[in-house]
Amino acid sequence: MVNDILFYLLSAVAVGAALALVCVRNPLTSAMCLLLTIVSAAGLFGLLDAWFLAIVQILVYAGAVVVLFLFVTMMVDTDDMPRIKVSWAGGVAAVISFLLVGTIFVSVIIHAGQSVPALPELGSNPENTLAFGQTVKSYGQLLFTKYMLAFQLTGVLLLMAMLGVIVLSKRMNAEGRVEPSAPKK
Amino acid sequence: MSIGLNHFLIVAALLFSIGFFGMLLRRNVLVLLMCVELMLNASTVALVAFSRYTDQMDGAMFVFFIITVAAAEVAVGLAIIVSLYRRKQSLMAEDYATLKN
Repeated sequence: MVNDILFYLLSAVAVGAALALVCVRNPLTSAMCLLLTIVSAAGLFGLLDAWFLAIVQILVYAGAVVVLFLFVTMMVDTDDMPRIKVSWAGGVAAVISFLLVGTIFVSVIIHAGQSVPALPELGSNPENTLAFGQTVKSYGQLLFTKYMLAFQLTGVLLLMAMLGVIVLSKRMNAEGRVEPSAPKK
Repeated sequence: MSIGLNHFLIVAALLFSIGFFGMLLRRNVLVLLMCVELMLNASTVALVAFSRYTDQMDGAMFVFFIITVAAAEVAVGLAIIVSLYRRKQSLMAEDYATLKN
């Protein structure tokens, strides 16, 4: 019962904050709405017994991604925002995609209750060696066995992202040389 | 517990579609990047729900990787936005139409 109330509360906050993210004009407010959505999604992870993922979500998204967004939003000048003008093609695409997503919702709601798996008890099936685990150990074990290649590739990806950011944020002149920083006044 | 898999999937679909509409309707590139994050987040909610309701660990592992990739993507995307802003002094997507015509 408590779980039900929590689920509806967290989902309402997540969806409401997502709507505010899209509708609000100031990018700073959008970033704060993104933070709210992420934290409520972390709460949903907690409801699903994925505590480790909830913590990672808050650390990485709320701690790093939203802070980066806030940094960049404050660095660039966003005072003169013109009114949002919706282009014709964008409006048509939005209506069509809204109808398609609506079809998904209607079909899900119609089929709700038919062959929906019940929430399995944790560790109910001892033969299932890859059962859903709450502990960090179950994540680490899979990370270093079944998903070893993906893990290594993720490390390479992070290195490439780091190098890419360093290269992108240097000021280059026309010949591709790095310009010296401006003299202090 | 009366909350089923469908409830979580509907929330995930709602979040994804809101991010998608934001992608179509907004012009500020920073908000566009935030909408991409919103869509990735919606997919992680769906993956965790599937993982828990089928009692398999793989979906949760995918979420782990998705979060890592999203963080890398935001870092590179924001660096691109900053260097674009230096060049054009604008954050509006219409102003980045150099390749058009």
